Amino acid sequence: MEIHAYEKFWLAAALLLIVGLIATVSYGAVGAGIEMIGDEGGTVDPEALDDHPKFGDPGVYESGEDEYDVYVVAEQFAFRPGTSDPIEVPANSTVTFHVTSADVIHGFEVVGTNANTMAIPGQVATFTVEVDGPRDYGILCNEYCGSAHHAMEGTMEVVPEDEYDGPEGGD
Amino acid sequence: MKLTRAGVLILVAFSVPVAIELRTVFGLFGIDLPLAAVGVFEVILVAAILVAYAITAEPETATGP
Amino acid sequence: MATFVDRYPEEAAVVRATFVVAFVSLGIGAFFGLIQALHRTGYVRILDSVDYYTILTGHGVLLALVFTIFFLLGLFTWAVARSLERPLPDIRLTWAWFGLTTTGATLVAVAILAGLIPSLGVSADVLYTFYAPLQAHPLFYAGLTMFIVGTWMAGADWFLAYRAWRADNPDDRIPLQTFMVLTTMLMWYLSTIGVAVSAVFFLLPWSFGIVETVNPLLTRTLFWFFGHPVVYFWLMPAYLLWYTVLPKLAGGRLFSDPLARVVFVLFLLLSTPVGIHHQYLDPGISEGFKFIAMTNTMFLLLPSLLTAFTVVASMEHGARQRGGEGYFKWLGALPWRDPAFTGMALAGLMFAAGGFSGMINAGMNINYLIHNTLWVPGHFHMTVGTAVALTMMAGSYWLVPQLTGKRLYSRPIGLLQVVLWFVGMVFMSNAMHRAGLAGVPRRTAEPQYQSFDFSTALGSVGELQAQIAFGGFLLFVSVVLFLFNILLSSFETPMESPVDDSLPAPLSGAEGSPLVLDDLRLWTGIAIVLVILAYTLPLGSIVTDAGLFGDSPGFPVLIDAVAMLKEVVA
Repeated sequence: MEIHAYEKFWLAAALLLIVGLIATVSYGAVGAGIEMIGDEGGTVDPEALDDHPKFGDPGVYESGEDEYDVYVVAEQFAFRPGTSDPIEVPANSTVTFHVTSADVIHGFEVVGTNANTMAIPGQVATFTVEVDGPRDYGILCNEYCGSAHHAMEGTMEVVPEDEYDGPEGGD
Repeated sequence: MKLTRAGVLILVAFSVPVAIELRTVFGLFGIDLPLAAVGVFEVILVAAILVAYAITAEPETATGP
Repeated sequence: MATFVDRYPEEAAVVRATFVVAFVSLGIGAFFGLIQALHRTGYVRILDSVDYYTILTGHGVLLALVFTIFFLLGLFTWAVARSLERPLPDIRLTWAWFGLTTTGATLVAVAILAGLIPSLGVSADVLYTFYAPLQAHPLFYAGLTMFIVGTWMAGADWFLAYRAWRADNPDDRIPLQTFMVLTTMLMWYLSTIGVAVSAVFFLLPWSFGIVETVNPLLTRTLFWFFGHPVVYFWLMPAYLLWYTVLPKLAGGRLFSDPLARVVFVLFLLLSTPVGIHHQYLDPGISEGFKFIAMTNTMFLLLPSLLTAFTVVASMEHGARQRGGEGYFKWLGALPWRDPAFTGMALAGLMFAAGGFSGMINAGMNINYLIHNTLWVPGHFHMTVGTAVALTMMAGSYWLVPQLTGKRLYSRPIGLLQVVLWFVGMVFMSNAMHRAGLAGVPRRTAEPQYQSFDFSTALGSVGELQAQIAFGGFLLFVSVVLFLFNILLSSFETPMESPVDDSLPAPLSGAEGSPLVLDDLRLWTGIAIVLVILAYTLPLGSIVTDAGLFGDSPGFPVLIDAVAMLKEVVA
């Protein structure tokens, strides 16, 4: 089978590009330590979230020095907390989100950042972010979840450390 | 190279992404071009294509473009 | 000189029928697209935002499933008959699959559009992905199942034609177009198992109330088992046209037949074990499985990059045959007046841009920035929305006269139409990508929020919205021109000298290539093994987590949303 010399060169360049792309992601995961969502969040019973030790009272929990856990329940068409009360965390802390859904599939996106996950009933999405200076962020649902999907939004407030009055532990 | 009317149409089509992405390219260097600059650039591109057409075109039959 | 309709009148009738269904759904779907472009940018809102999702479901299903797949059904029927040089074995079977797919598609469309009339009590506003536990009317799942089964029958029809040909030609290589059809259909059989299992075993019984609950992650994973390969099911007809028709239109010949076969084999092998790359952000699937899906996805770039080479090389060969010279000046010698050629060339160019934005989507970590944002529709309007749709429209300018024996109404209007599509898509897709980077979500009626604003890197949100609405308008005008051109062509008088539908032989033919390329059993076997490797463990762990039928009851989309919203706000 005849393969033209230019075609061989092109094939090699294409393979180089492919291996390079895989290498950058591998480096991101292993070298730069970019954490991605996997299956470590475990499962919950979407019908019995109220009985769950944390999702029964969702909100911000302190887990260590400058480390916080945020439990968020997404439901048609609000985030708890987030929609009626903002999620409040101190600046320069490490925040681990635990997100699940009480009904259908939702999205949880902190606007303009890579803090972004699906909220699937029965599954808990867990991911950790480093929060820097004080700032307000928008939160939105980025997966169609029903007829008022476009109204599903919330906020997250990163407040200066000295103004932070402790974790809410639910709303 | 002779430019046909079809050729002009295609070149004008190609000029649109060039003009739009010009802004992205300048943005990479931290220069925020206003929308008007993109518009002016597109007008210049179209004018250049039309001038090229006027210079190179031969009288065409009515079957174009 | 005879053309397709003279040689295979019965097959031409079926192809015309599939094209009619395809073009009707193209018209409706494009109109819905215009409504959406104007609605979500806030320019014109003729509907309530609740009904936006009905329109969005209709747009996705009618364009991505009905238009593309009906065109494929027609194109593949044409390709099999002309490349095997024989009629299909039994035209009644052909009409049977046409009837079944059309009935299925009609039921799905009725279930969706009934959502606009609340008194009917039928709704399927579940979007193109129909993620449970959002629940559509059973008609939606039943219609979908009929449609899929119809496509399986069509595949059987083409395989029977091939078997009959093989009996008469035991030692010949499979003709290239038939080879493309068969490998594509093998990929389709393998991948539609996911959606068929999801619809028949889980969603249909659940929507009828026979089973109470569903495992949302399981049905979602089964959807994407099918949902990525379906992308290649749309793309393969475009590739078939780029490989076999575009070189002729350019005035030359295909560069290499064996490499075209290699490309289609790679698609058969790699299309299915990649679906999890749509689920990078899903909890319940471990990072390792996602990494495997990503690796397969990246290698799937290879056949597309090889195609880019072959298509450009074939075009250059054509241009040089036409007297083109120089490093770049040969581009001027291409037949830019021909809407069929120009449309396919522009579609290919935009596919290159869409391919690069797809590499971002495929990157497991950078995907977090753009997942479910407007970037994603920006990407797929370049791929399925242009590489596929524009190639199909452009191809129609060359195919339809062969199927009717009548000339095209207007080539200049055709040229204007394909150029308008390209320009409209540049405006719309560029703005969608940029809005996505700012975090603007996809699939929403009103991307304006009360408690925060989006901040864009360049320009303002208002400019991006203007660009989306303007681009959407141009695209709609383009579809209207296309449909009128085709409609008026059907009233033309029959041609005296029909289209020359012969395709020149490739520069390098199949003769020198290894016979193993044509061993469809071998490639199917490897494809099945790859799917088993990629999916057994993730599916196993999903079922272990929540059971086959899960814990989620249905949430019918018909609930009174306005009342619910009031409750939330209060």
